[in-house]
Amino acid sequence: MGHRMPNQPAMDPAPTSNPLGDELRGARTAKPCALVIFGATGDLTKRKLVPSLMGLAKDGLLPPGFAVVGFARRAWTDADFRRELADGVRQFGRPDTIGHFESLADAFSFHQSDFGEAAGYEALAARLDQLDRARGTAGNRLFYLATPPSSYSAILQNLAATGLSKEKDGRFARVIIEKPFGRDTATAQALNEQVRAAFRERQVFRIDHYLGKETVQNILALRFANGIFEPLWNEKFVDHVQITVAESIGVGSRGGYFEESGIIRDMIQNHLMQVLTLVAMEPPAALTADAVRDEKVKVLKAIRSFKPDEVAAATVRAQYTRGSFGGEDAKGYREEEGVAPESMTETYAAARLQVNTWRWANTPFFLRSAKRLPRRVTEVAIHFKQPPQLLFEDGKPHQPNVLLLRIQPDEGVALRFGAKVPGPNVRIRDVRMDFRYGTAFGGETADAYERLLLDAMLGDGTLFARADEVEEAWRIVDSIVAGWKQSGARPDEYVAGTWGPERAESLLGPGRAWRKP
Amino acid sequence: MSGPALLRTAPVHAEWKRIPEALRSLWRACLPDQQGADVARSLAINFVAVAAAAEEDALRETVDKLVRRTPCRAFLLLLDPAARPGTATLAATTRTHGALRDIVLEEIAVRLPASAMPQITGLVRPLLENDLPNHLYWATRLPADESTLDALASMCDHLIVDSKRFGAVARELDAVQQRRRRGHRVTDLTWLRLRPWRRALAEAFDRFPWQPGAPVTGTIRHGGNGLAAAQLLANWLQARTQAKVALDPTGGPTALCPERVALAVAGCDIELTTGGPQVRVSVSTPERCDLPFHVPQSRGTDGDLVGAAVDLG
Repeated sequence: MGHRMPNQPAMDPAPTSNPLGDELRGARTAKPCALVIFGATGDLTKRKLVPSLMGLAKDGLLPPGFAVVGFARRAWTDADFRRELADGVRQFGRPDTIGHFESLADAFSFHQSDFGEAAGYEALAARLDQLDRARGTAGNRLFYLATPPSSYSAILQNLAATGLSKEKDGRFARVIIEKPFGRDTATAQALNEQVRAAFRERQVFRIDHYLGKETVQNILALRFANGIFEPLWNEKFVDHVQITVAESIGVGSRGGYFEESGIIRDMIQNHLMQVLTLVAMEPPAALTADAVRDEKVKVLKAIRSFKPDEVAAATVRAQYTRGSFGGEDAKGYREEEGVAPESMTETYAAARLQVNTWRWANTPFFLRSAKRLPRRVTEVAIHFKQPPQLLFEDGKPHQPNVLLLRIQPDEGVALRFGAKVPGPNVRIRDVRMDFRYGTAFGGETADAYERLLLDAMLGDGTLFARADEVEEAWRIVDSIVAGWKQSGARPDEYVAGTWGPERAESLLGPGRAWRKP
Repeated sequence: MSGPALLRTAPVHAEWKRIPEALRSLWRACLPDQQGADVARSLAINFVAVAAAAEEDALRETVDKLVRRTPCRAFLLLLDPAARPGTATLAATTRTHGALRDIVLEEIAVRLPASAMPQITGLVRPLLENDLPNHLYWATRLPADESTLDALASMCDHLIVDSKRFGAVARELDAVQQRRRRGHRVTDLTWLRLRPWRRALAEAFDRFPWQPGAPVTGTIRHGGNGLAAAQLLANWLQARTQAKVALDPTGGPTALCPERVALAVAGCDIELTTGGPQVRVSVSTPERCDLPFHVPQSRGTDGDLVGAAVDLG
């Protein structure tokens, strides 16, 4: 009697033949697989990936046959690797997950190789075959590129050359690619070409951790699971939309990296554009990966590229200068380590985008992201139009109604509206209805990476960016960057710990103001 | 990682007719000391629980666990033959997270003899928070006369039972089924507890071609506390595969789930055994023997399972 791996596809019957199959259909449990992390000695593995895997283990969502291979250049042993990961799970994992790591520690091994060394991949293939036998990983592979982008090319080429990227006999081979995905349209297209040479699109999972956040996913739930919002969700009722991703920290030790990207490449091209597409998209025909992503791409395609001479009026860029933060002095951007004294890189960017569809024809979307603002906050604010007739307080306009989707922190949804102040006079005051995730649901919330790792194991690409989505987002960003470059003007300035440069207010137009969340 | 802190007020005793005033005094007690600070009531469900007074500690543990995920107004109806009905004990729990403070539990505990239960609907109904789903947790065995259960269930959208508490298991499981046939939403915590076993069996059946009508025979070994779980699993297998499954009651007395399930399916053998926190699954066919795989056992306490039931309901 020979041994066989669990879930070996050649013997798998059709799912309908299993009389108990509905127990599996409802469960979000993946098939057995081996996860190979390239760049496994980096921070991402220790702080996010392995703590998230242990969160999945805690919730019983890891597949029965599972193994992790760390692939990196350092001369680590399996024991070194496990020690480092255990430390990460203790520091960054959900409560009570270290026990899961300890019981699964044997599933983690380290593979030392240079990313460009073909022999290292031959040895990796042999190691994965051995894991199939020893740990029942069933020939399924998930490759995670957690390296600097400069290593992507070598890894992709070698995965293709050794046949590790090929799917055969029903076994899956998938790749997860971390941002940044290119630094402009041309480099993103080139990278997509390299990816396509090794993998088919359905095997590729371009990760943007914002999409793994419950509150970002809740944008779709709020819009499409409720009858009351969608009828108002258009240019007839919405005056404008503000999307803000603010960070209170400066660039810190990432000055060198940030000089190359700036806030527009680091945040707007990916996180803000993703949130924008979810807010502005049409209802998908189904909640399948391609149906959702088709609608998201349509939004990006409906945003026209800027001509260089339009950029100054439609955008603001700025750098933070010396100020005070939390009662302490804060350096200006050009004083930060790794930053050139004459740097032109923006730490604040705001843009007015127009989604040219019937739904949004006259409703501008204002995107803003920056470092060294007073608070760390991510939110979407839907500002509604004033009522057609102002009956109260001598026709004085009230504060507009705002539907606020708070993505972090204090996740939730709030609606601001006017109410009569009790008393003999008719006076209107703003009040707020507030839903807070932590209050309504309580419990511990899984990290975004947990959801995304599980989805990649399950082969569900809904929460990952598709190649055309990435390229369309770059097209818009490229046109802004080109306009800035052509003008040659220095970025505006704002004092660290304030809400940005003065000129940002004029971007919105009369009667509107940036929120100070 | 520091999470929110839960603070419980001192208990307040009130006559039944004074419960609304007592609730208002609780809200005041929940206000933070600092001036200008506010507290929000964040109730998501009404939760009506019936249990024997001897089970009070276990029920409170369940409610404590539940409110971590689902804030509620909870009515704890404790059956105590020696109690004199007419008073209630109230307390509230607030959750503080930074400057935020929310009331996540408004608890109204009433001790009363079973004979006073018919009055209880009249007490509970006006105190249910408007516009919230109502869940009834019947944390004791099903009575032969279900009139009180019917009266409470009629106020609620969802009934939660736990067949591990059943005395006459077959009769009470049948009563639950009949209730479902009448269109009631009923969740049995034992069924949720069995989820890893169901999943393991489903995965086992995924490993060989199944022919409908193929004979399935087997045994489920269980202990005294696991009878209901074993019976539910056997019923399920019978409904899905026409299996003839015998129950073997020789297992250890405490386990709530089966100790071992062995099935023979057209020349294939499936064996599920418990080993620590996991269910070990072995499958062999005439041609081969798969490597065993493991499925985590249910980690859920009663409180976790009630929380899951509320989510489902």
